Amino acid sequence: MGEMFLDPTDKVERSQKVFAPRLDTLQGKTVGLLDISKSKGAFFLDRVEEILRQQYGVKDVLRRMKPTVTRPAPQPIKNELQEKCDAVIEALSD
Amino acid sequence: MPETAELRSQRTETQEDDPIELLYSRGLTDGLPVVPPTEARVKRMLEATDRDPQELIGTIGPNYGRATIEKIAINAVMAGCHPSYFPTVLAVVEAACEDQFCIHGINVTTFSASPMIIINGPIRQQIGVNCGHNAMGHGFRANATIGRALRLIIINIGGAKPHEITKATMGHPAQYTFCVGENEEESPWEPLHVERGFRADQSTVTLFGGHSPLQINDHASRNAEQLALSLGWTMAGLWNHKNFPLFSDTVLVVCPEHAKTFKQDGWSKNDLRQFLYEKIRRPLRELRPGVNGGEGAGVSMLRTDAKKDREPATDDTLFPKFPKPENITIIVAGGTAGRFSAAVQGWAGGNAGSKITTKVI
Repeated sequence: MGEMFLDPTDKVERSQKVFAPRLDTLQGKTVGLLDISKSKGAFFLDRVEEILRQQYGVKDVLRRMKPTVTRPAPQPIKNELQEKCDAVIEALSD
Repeated sequence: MPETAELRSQRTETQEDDPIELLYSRGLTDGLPVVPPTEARVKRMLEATDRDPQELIGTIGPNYGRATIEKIAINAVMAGCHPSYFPTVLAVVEAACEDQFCIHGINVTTFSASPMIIINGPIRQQIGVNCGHNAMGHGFRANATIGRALRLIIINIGGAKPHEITKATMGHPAQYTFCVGENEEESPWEPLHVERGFRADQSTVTLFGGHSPLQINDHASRNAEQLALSLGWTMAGLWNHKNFPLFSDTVLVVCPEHAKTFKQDGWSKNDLRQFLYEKIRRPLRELRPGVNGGEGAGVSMLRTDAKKDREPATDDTLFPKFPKPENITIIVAGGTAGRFSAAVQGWAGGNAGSKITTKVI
């Protein structure tokens, strides 16, 4: 019989995450753009918004920004993006 | 722990001859061998506290794993801690779990941030924390294993593993362990914990989200002003020689011989901080992106031209290295021979990053 040891990790049960249904088209959809507050994120997302509107015919673009890059997005922002958007793009930049 | 308390962690029986190899194969180490956390060892660790093993200290990002007293004890065993260190380890984890410390960000940033632990008060002598020669180096079980316990907790409870969710670009050796005791006995100033509102007879841990130490040589300055300029202009290179101002805190670890020079001229910690804030400045013309390097004063600083509380910036406008005097934390540590101090650059500070956090042991 070998030595017994205790598990040093947290074994909390976590709910299985599933992907949201994939979209067939962006036409007429609302797309959320989340700027994580890194430098020049807005510069990048401005171009993404332009492409989404001009080339993909999205109905609307919802722009939101995390207060700081160092922490997860506040729950109200996550809730709003989830409720109002068909798809979300989160932008990391530097 | 209370006599009736039970341990709830899953038990694993090793099939291999060598339990150390099993712990490696499960990805439960920092890359160095760990002490196998047998029930007997974990119980000995838990005997150093009256607290219930299931008490939750907090959660640790990025996985937000639950740091219970039991899980902390298991990791402290693995790190090699003596049970007498356990109350200190618990205080360290309490500090790390404070929201303002932002351990999630520290654990995942490309910056390679890691917690620096500073220990103050009588506990230093009680458990043998080294504060003298080689203060930030190897050779002392308390320093080595208390710092390492936090690293293992970050890995095993927080889930922060490199090449997975931890994206430190470069990393550094102080990520394995970084725990220093302030050399209060050789300091002309009040120790850090007293400065932060605690009594001298209390013992505390203070956590700083930073990087590795940068040693600063000065064997020639014989007065406080010359020495402060020497330390300050070397610190001017932290992050980047053109990152003025920093958006982070800095810890300046003053060696005892340098501390004597400041004492001789009657400088307080505040005098030193204020001097560094006022003197370590560069004009905007030297800081513009593209001048001696593409990096430069942050975009936000260049935008300050428009701020109401500031004169419009010109090429001659001087920007300070340190955003405010209080962004410099000063401690004394190290041996009594040699004029080498050290600076530890901080990760993002303030409300948008990590704040220095102190807990009583």
